[in-house]
Amino acid sequence: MKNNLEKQTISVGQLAILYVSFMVGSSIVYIPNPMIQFAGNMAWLSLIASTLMAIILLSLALYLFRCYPDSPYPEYLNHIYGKWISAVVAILLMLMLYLMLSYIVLGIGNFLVNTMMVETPMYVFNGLTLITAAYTVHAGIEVMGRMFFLLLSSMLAFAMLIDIMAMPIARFETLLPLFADGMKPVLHGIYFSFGFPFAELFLFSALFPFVRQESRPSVGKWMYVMTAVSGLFLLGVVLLTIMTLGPLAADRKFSLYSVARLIQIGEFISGIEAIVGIALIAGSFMKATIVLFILNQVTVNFFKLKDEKVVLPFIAFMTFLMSVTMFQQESEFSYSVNDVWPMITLTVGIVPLILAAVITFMKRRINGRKHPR
Amino acid sequence: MFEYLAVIILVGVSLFPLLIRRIKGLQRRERWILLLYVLPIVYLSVIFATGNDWPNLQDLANLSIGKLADILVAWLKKHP
Repeated sequence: MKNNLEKQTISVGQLAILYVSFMVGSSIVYIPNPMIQFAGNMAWLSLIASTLMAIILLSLALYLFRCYPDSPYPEYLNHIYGKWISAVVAILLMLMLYLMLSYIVLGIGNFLVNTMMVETPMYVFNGLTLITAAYTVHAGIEVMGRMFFLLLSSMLAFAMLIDIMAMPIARFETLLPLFADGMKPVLHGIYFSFGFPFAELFLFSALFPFVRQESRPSVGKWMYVMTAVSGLFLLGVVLLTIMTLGPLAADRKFSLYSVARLIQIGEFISGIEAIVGIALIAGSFMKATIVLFILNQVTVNFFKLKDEKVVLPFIAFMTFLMSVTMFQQESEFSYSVNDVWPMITLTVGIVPLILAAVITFMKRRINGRKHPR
Repeated sequence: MFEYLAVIILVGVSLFPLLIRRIKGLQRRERWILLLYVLPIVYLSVIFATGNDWPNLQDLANLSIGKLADILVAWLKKHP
């Protein structure tokens, strides 16, 4: 089979952009409200703990990348688990990615229907998002890396602008009391925030082989820094939400958008939430595109297809139909994302990755003892 | 129902031009693989067009892994 990976490569900087888009993209909109619901004023502590756990998980993913530099995840699982177990893992991973992509697309539609365009049917947004994402994936990962620099910059710039402009209305006393209900709310916050988005970083193992050979030595450094940056960024958003919205922080959906609505400077700067909304949705769009790209790659590798773009329309169309048929009510969607999704990432993503790293380490150690230098 | 059928056709017409140039070069094995995708697409299209609440992928997730998640979340929500 012709190696399609030879056609597309990205620099480590572009990988970093894709990574931050992936980690922050939809999280910035959907993380604060549920986290504050679960962890209360201690949501910031849950986020810090999740970020540290993500760095540990990242070290395992990077270790496996160093051991199998030219095989994408989950292809290298063939060498670790054997053909049949790795096939089962790949199928579960594909199902997980279909769910993930549907949830992201549904989240975009949900946001727009709830905030700005309440009369428009959700399938309009879901369809437009997936069509645009499919054509972006079709253009290739190089185009994605270049294009997302602009989208990510605007998203982060607007989010930081909101943070700065909201500082005058922030109140530090709303961060108290600490540990009002004990440790369990903090653990609940960790369970949610680690499941979405930090544990999902294992999916980037599928993109590491796209990095150019000469840039590969610095992949680890960039990934660690960007994980910390993503964690700090989300921490800032959560802290600001608690400090500005106070007791309402847990009740307001789309917290950053709600904060933006409060901002008024003089008589001439107000109503900036629409611009912020667009920037936030750009983040979710980027994440949806990356997930669609990864799902396409996993499918192509699993079925050993010669043409890596032939199955893309089918995947996108099926995901569109799933996103418009999955849930009858919003509460079902909230349950699936808040309660079930973290467990899915843990069982389908984290456990196989950890086991793979441990088995690889043991094999290399045993081989090292059999054939000492 | 006709509204939803129109949406399905519109989205399909927007996505499948990506496939037109590539379909001639496909091998028999690859065509069978693509046919595998047609089955769930037809199923989901029927659900969307008719508005029926038939089983979907998230139901499978909720019935399997969801049970474990429910136990853990119930424990996390219990405060002293």
